[in-house]
Amino acid sequence: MTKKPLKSWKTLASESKARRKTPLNPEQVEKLNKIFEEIDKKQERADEDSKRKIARQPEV
Amino acid sequence: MGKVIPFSEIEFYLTSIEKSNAPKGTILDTNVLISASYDVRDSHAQITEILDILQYKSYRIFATVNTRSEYLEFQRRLILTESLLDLVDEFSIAKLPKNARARIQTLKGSLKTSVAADSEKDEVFNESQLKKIKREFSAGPHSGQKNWLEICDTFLKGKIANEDQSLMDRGVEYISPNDESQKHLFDASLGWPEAIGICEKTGTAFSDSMILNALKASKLTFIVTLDFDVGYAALSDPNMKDVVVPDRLFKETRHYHFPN
Repeated sequence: MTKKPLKSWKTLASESKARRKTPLNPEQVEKLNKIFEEIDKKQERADEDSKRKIARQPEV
Repeated sequence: MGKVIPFSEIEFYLTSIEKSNAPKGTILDTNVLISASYDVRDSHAQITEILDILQYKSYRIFATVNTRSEYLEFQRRLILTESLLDLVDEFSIAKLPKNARARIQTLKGSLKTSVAADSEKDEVFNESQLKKIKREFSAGPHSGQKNWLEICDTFLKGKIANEDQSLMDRGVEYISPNDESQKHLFDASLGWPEAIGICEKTGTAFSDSMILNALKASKLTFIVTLDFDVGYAALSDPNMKDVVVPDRLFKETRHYHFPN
């Protein structure tokens, strides 16, 4: 079996950068946006609940 | 005592050691691997040239398990940092949750400030900053970290494995006296007491002490590093081998003299 030739070190950074800079596809963005929307809603609800709790506390 | 060799003299150095019976191979420090993979660093061009010379001259290139872990840790933080910063970019079509956006923006500001103050600092979030961002993706005290898992699935899945593979594609091997194919490279056991001894003698970071210990236990003649401390430790140990460093560091080590 022939040995695979080694890649040059000069291409390591550009290959790595290209992998990091690959943009998300529309399905990935849509999936993330759904999750993000859900988080926003839950966080807003949690904020309102805590405000209501504080408002309900009797004044000292 | 080991010698410190500047990058500019590597070819003369390699010619000089080729006459010896030492195996043709070297150990790389984590910083060397990071600089080779990240062209933002000043030393990037110099280090890729040195590594290509070693490859051309058929030197086996080794890294320790510790080095591999530190390298992959850097890649993890780099990938997450760039992905998270892309999400807050003004042209991003991702609609980040309010709290997460605010947190990333704030930490982006701190990161830019610290990089502006120290040119050697990488524009990469540290672990504490990443943890703060991660917390913002939790929808509430009982919602767990499932959302963060989705983010990891989108941004990290397969990517760290690719970075690891990239090193292997360039011939990086992980040094181990337990590997049958490497047994002939060692003439001493690779133990913790020796690594602790190196650390206690020079105060070198423990990860560097482990690399130096691997070099000492092996029959390899030299390591390549970008770290002044490793050169310093080599000069201070009468039984240490050689260290190849950038010319700038070589000039610094010339100020130190140790008894033989």
